[in-house]
Amino acid sequence: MTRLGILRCLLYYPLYPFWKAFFEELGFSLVVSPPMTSRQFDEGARRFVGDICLPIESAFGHIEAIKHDVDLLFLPRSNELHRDVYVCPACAGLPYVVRHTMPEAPEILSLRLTPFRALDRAGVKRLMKLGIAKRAVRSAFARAQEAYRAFVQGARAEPFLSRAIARATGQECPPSPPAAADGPRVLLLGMPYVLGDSFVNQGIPAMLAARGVRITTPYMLAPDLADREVAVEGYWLYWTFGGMSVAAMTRQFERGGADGIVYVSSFACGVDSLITPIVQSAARRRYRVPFLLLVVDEHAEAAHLAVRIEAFLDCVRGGVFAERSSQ
Amino acid sequence: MTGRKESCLTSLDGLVLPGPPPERLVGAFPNLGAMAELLYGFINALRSRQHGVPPPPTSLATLDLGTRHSPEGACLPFKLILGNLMECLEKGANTVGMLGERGPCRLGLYSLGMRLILSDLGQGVSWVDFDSVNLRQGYWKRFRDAYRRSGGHQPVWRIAYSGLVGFYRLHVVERLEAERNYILPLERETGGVNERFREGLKRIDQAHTLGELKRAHRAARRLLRSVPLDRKRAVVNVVVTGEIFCALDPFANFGIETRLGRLRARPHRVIWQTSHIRYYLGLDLFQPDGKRAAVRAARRFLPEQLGGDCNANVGHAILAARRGDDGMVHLKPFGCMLEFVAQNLMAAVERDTGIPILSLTLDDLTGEERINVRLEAFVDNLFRRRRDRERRAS
Repeated sequence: MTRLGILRCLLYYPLYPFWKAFFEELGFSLVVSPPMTSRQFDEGARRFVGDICLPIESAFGHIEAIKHDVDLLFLPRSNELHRDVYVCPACAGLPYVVRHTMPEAPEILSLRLTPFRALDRAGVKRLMKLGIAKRAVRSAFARAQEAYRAFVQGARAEPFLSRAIARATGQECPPSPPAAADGPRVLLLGMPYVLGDSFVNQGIPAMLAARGVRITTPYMLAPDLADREVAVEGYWLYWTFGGMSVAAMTRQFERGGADGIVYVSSFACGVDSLITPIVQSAARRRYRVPFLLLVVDEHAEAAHLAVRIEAFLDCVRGGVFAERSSQ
Repeated sequence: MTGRKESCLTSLDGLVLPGPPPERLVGAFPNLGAMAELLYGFINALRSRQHGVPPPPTSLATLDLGTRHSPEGACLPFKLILGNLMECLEKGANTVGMLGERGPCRLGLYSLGMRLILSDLGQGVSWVDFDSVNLRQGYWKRFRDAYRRSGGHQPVWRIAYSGLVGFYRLHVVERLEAERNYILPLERETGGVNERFREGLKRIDQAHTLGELKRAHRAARRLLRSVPLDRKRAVVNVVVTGEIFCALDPFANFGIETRLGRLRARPHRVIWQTSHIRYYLGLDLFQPDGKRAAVRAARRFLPEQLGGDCNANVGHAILAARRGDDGMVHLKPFGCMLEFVAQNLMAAVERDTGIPILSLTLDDLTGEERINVRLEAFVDNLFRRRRDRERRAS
C-alpha cells in the first residue's frame, strides 16, 4: 500500500476531511505529519530563502518530519480552488518550490483536489500513472464530496477548526466546553490555516475561550466557502479566504452582530495586509465595535498576546464603545 | 473575469467616501516607473480641459507619508504609491487614475485599500481604475463614461490618437533609459550620463505629438552620445529584474542602475512598462528577451502561471544564463508572495546553470549602505569570475 504524506498545515485546515476520504477510497494509506514543534520548525526553516509567513515556513518543517516515512508526498495545487479565485500565491507555488529546493523530498503528488471543482484532466492522468482507474477516481471524488458535506455540517457549531476536522475524520477529540451564555460575543477572523493551527496562532482561540468569550469564526458562518463571491465597494475580493473573512463579518452583523472583532494575522501575510484595512474600516465606521489585530510570528509571546486580549476584552466589557456610540 | 464584478453574493458598500464632482478634472497618477509618462502624455494630448498633475518625485517625505497611513504589512509599492497620490492630492489633483489587475497579486486591491484609507482620513476622492484585464472587457465603455462624466468632449479619433501618443511617449522614455544604461559604465566623468539623460527627459516632456516626440527622442539621443566615454573599459553585464515597481522606481531601488554603472557593471533591465503592455497585447511573440519568452523559458521550473512577474522573473534568470550574462540582480519588496516563489526557484536556477543571482529585499526600512555593500561585493565577484574564466581559457 502506498504511503501518502499529508502536511498538517495550510489547506489541511479546510480540506483534510475531503482529501482523506478521497485518498482512502483509492487505497492509499495516509501519513499525516505530527503537530508542529519549535525544534522541527527550526529544521524546516533552513530549507528556503526569503521572507514569508509562519504557516508557509512551517510547511517545510512538516515535510522534514515525515519525509522518510512516506513514498509519496501530497502537496495540493491550490491556485483557483474555485475558478478565478485565488489563495495566496506563495501557497500556490509551494509544490514547485519544494520540488526544486528539497531534492531529497519524496516524490510529489500535486493535484488540484478541491470539493468545488472537478479534478482536471492533468490530475486524472497523474493518478492513472499511479495505476488507478479513471472510474475509481470518479467514485472516490463523489465519496469525498459527501465526506466534506458532513464535515461542513459538523463545523457550524464548533469554534475550533482542528476539533471539527478531528471529529469529521474519526479521531478522538474531547468536546469543546460550552461557552458561557453571557460572555461577550467576539468574531474571530483570519485565514483558516491560522485559526486552525495552534502552532501558528499560539493558542489565541483557546485564550479567548478560557476568558469566557463566545467565539464565532468564518467557518461557522460560511463553512462551504460558497460565499466566495464577495465585493467591497464594487471591487471583487479575489482571494478565497480573504473574501470569506469579509463575508463572515457582513453576515454576522446582519444576524445580530458581535461585541468585538479579533483578526489573527501571520506576519508578512500579503492577503491579510489588504483585508485588515477593510475589516478595520468597517469595525470603526460601520459597526462601531472594538477591533483587535493580532500579528503572530515565530517570536510571538503568549504573555504579550494575553495582555492585549485582556485589554481588548476590558474595552468590550466596559462598554467604552457603547458609551461613545450612545452619545 | 475582471477586477470588478457586478453581481456578488455578499457586498459591503458605503465605506468609501465619494469624491466631489470636479469642476475641472485634474488627474493624479501613481509614480510607477514611466507609467505616469503614458497617462500624462495621454491627458496632455487630449488638449481639453482635463489635465494631470505630474507626480512629484518620490522622496523620503513620500515614504514617510505612505508608511504612516498604510497597513503595516503592505508592500513597499503600496506605501510609496499611496504617499505619492496623497502628495498629488495636496497639490490640487481631484481624480486618481489607478492601475489594477485581477489577482492574485495585491495590486488588484490597491485601489480599494487606498480609497478606504483616504476615507478613514475623511477625504473623498473620485477614482478611475485602469485594469489590464478590462482592456478586453467593457473597458472602453467604462472609460468613455468616466470621461464624459468629467466633462470631456473630444471626438473618438482624438482620444485614440492621445492613447497612441501616451504609449509612444512611454516607449521613447524607456528606450532612452535603455540607451543610458548601455553607456552608464563607460562614462569618464561620474554623473555625466545621468545629467544629459535628465536634459533629454526635459525635451521629451515638452513634446505633445508623435512628430515632436520623435524629434525630441533624436535630440535626447544626440545629447547622450555627446558624453565622453571610455569605450575600451572592461564591464560585466548584469541583468536587472524583479517585481515591477521595485525594478522601475529609482527611489525604491536606490538607483540600482546608476550604482551598478559606477561599479562598471552594465545594467541590462528586462522589466519595462512597455514589455508588460506588449505582453498583454500579444506584441512580443518574436522578442527573444520579452516577457513571453521568459514565461515560456520558466516552464521547467514553474509550469503554472502564478501571476505578477513571478514566472517571468524565473524565466529571465534562465534566459540570462543562456545568453551568457555575468550575473543578475533580483529586486523584491518585503513580503511579496509571488517573489518569494520566484526567489526560491531562482536559487534552483542558480544551482543548475551557475549564473550568480543577487536577491535584494526592499522595504521602507532598507538602508542605502546595505544595498551598496552587497552590490559592491557582488560585482567584485562577477569580475573575479570573469578573470578566472579568461585565465582558464588562455
